[in-house]
Amino acid sequence: MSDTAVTRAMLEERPEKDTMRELWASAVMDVLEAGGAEEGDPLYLGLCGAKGLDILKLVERGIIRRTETGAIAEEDLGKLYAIESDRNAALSLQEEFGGLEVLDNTIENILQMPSDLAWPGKRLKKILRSRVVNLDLNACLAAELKQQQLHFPVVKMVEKLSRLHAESPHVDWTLCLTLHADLKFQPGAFRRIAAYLAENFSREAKYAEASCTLLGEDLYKMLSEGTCEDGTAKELSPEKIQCLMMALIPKRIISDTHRQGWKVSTRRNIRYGATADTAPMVSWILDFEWDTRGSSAPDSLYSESLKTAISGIEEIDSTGQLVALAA
Amino acid sequence: MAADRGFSGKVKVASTIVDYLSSGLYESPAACMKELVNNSYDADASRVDIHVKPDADRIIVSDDGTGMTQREFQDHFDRVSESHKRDSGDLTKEKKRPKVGRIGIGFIAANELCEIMEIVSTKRGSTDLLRVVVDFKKMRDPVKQRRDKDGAVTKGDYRGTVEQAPRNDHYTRIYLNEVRANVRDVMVGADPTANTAGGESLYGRGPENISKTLANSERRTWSDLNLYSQTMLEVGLNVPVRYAPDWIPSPLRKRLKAMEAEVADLDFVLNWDGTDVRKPVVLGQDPNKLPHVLRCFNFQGEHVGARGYFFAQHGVLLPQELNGLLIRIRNAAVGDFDSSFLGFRASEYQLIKRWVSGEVWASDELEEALNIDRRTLRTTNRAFVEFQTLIHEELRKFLRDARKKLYEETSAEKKSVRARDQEERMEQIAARHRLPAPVPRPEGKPKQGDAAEQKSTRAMSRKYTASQLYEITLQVAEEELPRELFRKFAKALAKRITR
Repeated sequence: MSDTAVTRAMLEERPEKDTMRELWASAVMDVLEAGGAEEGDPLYLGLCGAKGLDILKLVERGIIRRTETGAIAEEDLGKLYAIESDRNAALSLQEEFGGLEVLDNTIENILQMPSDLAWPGKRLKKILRSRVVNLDLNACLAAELKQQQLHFPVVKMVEKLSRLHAESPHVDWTLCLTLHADLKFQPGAFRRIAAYLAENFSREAKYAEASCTLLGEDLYKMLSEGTCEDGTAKELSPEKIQCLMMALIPKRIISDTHRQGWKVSTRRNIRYGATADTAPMVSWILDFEWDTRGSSAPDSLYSESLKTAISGIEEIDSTGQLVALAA
Repeated sequence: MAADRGFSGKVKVASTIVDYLSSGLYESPAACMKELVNNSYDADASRVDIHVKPDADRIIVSDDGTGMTQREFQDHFDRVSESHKRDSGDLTKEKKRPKVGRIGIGFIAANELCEIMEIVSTKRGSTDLLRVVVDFKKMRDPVKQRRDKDGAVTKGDYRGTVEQAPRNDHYTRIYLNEVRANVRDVMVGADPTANTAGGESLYGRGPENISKTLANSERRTWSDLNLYSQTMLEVGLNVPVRYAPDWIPSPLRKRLKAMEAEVADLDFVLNWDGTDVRKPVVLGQDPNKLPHVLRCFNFQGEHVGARGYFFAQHGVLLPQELNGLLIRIRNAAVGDFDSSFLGFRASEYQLIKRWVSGEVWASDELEEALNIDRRTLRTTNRAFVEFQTLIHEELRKFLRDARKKLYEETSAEKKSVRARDQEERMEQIAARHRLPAPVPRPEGKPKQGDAAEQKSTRAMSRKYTASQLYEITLQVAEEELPRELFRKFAKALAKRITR
């Protein structure tokens, strides 16, 4: 197993992660209870890791059935897909869950990122239009400047996924997204992040209020007043970076997808880790519901979506308990 | 970490003949798959994993064998027909297994399955990770376009890199990409969206469950199963995997213990989408087809030796794929069960032949007779001629014995059961008439009498049973005779039957 895979395996064992897996399974359960996927359409696509612990949760809940050999039951074969770029891990996963299709590539390659013009083929497209897409990314938040425009590759990826789901017939879907609470930005990008947030604070009072509570007054003030430089990010504690990402990512996703016709509800906005021996992480569960106002009244759709962006924020403590945070 | 070293070249075969042969050699995807599995066996693998599901869009064959180096790959692929497979000896290096492959076209079997083959391999003790992509598309072009100036024919291009791997890793993984549409249909069971289409599926079942399914007395043939399952069974039949649990009733199994242990000692496991594939030989599980006969044999002729067993049951052996003789050379099967038993023609045994299954492990000399397809044997080869003769001798002895045990003894037993049944029924009839029960003469030789009488008796016996005739007679007598006379008649009749 590669170093990355080992690191990932260690992260997977944490109680916080187990709680997250429960939440992901609940999200899939909710989709099923709301009618599930159409016959033959994929239900769940995840970055499962070598052990497929998220798949095991789906099995525990009876969402996915296994045969006596541990293979995925024939009836459930087309419901579940995994992405695992480490080929050793991919094979382990297939050995553990016979019959499981593992796409042994990165999600970025599968989605043909960063191109706006290149798209995956028909078969992959079908898989990518799963009702629940779980991007448990072993990555931090990257921010780039392209022609002086602020650009988040991970948000771009989500935007591309949402475009796939928006293709006719559209598929309502749920995104589970996890990132390391760490920033990797090109020079000047953090200042642009601050400016972006500041502008939105000034335009959206409720968003600003919730962000202030979440970020703390000092950071909120720095962001609002435009006094942040790239160096400021390096001085932020892991908790502050978590909070910054919790405020930023749902907002940005809503902003980039609502015009496609998506009403985005932030169901979960969670931070965990950031102790002496655990990496700080942030996870979101976002529901994308098709809304015809995307073309006729995008602003009201946006406002409605934004109301949920920083609602229900939570923390998972080191024992795996979910604790509500005031926002 | 050292930089990756790139290399590339042409995969060639020595002649057009070999090109033609290796392009249309295998009759089914199963035949190709077994070549790949046997390659893993020859590479001292303990376990091979095959991933086909969910849709066979890509098939992966992954083993924990010794792996190969760039040099070994290039030695092999640059001139496929000039295989060096046995240059290093007849036995594998680590596990000392007799090598199955001979001329090294096993890998080329992949060209019948897919357009692109990717090999990822590393050898224990080496930090090189070989990654090669072989493009078979080129071989679909006309031979003229593929012939180079030396007359060799290019089968496909390959591109390779040597990357880094941990020193203790050892494996070979074959990714069959762009699986051909017809192969995909077969491998996945014809219709990936309709899970039960094309028959029952063995997907996701364990060895015990598969044995039970195969032993189902209503299963006449493996064709009742879908193509996915048939392919899995065909591969399992051919390669050196273990026997299924309870594959033969335990009293017989004890006699085959040594043979079974020898197969198990090969330490070779094939895992097919999570299913531990065993030899799909399941015998004697139908309680309606008792008794069974087993004969183990061992012979050594001048040119060839063999050992094995014949099994027979009372009634046609099902599933029909198991009827016949399966020859194994170096632990790999030669084709399927041959229901002609190598052309065994003794007319008196034609019927009972259908009740028999047998496996024979032939000595290496028979390999000389093995055709390139590994399905047939050259009938003019001296080892084969002797082998055929000795097998027929063993079979004749077995069939004679089996016929006696299964047919004649069973027949006598059946007669005895029938007689007892008749006796009971007569007793019941006599009791109804309040008469003493007649004691029927034991069945056997007919009583003396003229021919016409015997003929008439036989005709009547075919129509009515003795008890029925007895009842009819008594009924008529009762209707026609005064009561006292009837009693006298019945008494005399009982006395006659008793005599």
